[in-house]
Amino acid sequence: MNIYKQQILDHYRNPRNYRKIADYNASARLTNTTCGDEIEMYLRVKDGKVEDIGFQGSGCALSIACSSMLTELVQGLPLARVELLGEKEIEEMVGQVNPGRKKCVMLPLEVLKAAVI
Amino acid sequence: MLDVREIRQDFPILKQKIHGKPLVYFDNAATSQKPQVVIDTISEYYQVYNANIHRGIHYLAEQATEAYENARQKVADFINADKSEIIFTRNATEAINLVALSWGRDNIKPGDTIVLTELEHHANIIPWLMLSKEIGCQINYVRIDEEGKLDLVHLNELLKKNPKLLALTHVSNVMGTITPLPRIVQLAQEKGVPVLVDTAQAVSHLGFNVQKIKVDFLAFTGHKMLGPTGIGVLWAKKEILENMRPLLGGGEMINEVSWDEYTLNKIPWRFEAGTPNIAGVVGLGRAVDYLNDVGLYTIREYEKELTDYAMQMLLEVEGISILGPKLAEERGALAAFTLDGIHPHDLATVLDAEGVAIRSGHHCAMPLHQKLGIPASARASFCFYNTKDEVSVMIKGIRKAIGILGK
Repeated sequence: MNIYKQQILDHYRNPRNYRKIADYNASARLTNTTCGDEIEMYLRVKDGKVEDIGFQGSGCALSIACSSMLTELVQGLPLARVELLGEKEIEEMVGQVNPGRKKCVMLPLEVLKAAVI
Repeated sequence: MLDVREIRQDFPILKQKIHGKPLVYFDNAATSQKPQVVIDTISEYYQVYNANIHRGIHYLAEQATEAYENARQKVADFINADKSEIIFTRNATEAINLVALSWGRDNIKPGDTIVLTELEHHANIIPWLMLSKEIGCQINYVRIDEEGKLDLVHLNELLKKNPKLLALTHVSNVMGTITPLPRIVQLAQEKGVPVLVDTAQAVSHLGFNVQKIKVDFLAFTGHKMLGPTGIGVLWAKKEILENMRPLLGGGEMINEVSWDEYTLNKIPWRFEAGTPNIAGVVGLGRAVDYLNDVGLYTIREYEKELTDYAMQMLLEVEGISILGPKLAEERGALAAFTLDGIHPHDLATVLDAEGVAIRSGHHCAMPLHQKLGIPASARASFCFYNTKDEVSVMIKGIRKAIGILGK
């Protein structure tokens, strides 16, 4: 049961990079209409790399924690690598979730990709 | 008096454990569980008298036809209607779509208006939105107040514009509100406006008598009333059905066919093209028997008390707000709520680990949630096999969720 994982609860209670970064040059905002989760990400991309990233939004514990963890993961990462991120990496990051909650953990990656691709 | 321990023995699914905990099934507004007798009736059809209906003259075909038509009679009796007015569909959604696509297309013209309410489930919004896009009619929504009750003054104003139809729910699947149908139907009839009622959420909890509440169309579904999935009902007044075009063509719905022409069968078969869901129909018939055996009065009394108890227990939890009317008397057997600081999906996940099944999300009522200004809600919905002890298990689970997720 993922929701009990201490790491997730920690990221939910104290989301990292929860801010709109200054002079961002890429951003995207998506909502998950079935649960009302809403995540917006801001990136400063330089020389094909994520130089800085922040996010804001509202949603369930999983979507917030996953956004937070994802911003940590991609900090400094080349966009070519970001493009390759998929369900597998998200699962490695947050652990397995019920099929019904998959959308909650995939939303942050969708937002990130919408911003940079 | 209802002996809930005895009732629970009839529902095999309730005996199982989920994540090692006894199942507490509080998602009855999504679909009810099925008693063993319904399950047995369905397998008996396949094991003993499976045949196509209305066609063969062999023994099995006669048995199947008789069972199918007997079930139609049972459903008709359940709502005090004539058997010829019961049309079997896939679900309540299909029943409403049938009205929109057949009666609606023939009777609603560009510029006409249809009145719905802010309480509606998507099933009673989308078919009308689709129709409005197709023919260019207007849709107006009767407002609700803070408690989720319909604003009858607003309804009256909208009725004055001579709409072609008023389509509304009997019980809101989110707010729980029981709409005051006798008064509403009276207001509509004074203006000569036909009324369609979606009683999917109510017919097995409150009953429906079409001779007493004189609506024009009634839609409901089998799987929310202890019956199988894939079977629903449209009831409509005979004179309306006689003049309604069938939506689907094929076997059974015709009388005579030549290469160039066909004549229509009588109602209700005119609307049941192709081999129907025979197992679903006989299963639904058995579900109706079961409901009658328990008794609708007994069911309502029990569920009202249980809902009242659940609401009291929920309100003792700090941060919980219940949507809809405050009095159990004015509600169906459900309570949707929000919990400060905890998303309904997170709550549902924690409760799931405790074996408690609730619904979280917008419950197919997105516009209503937008109006309420909340992205989603959690909903516990009850059936007469649920108990106060189960409510306590849910409350304990909610407190656990607060412990884990509360900031």
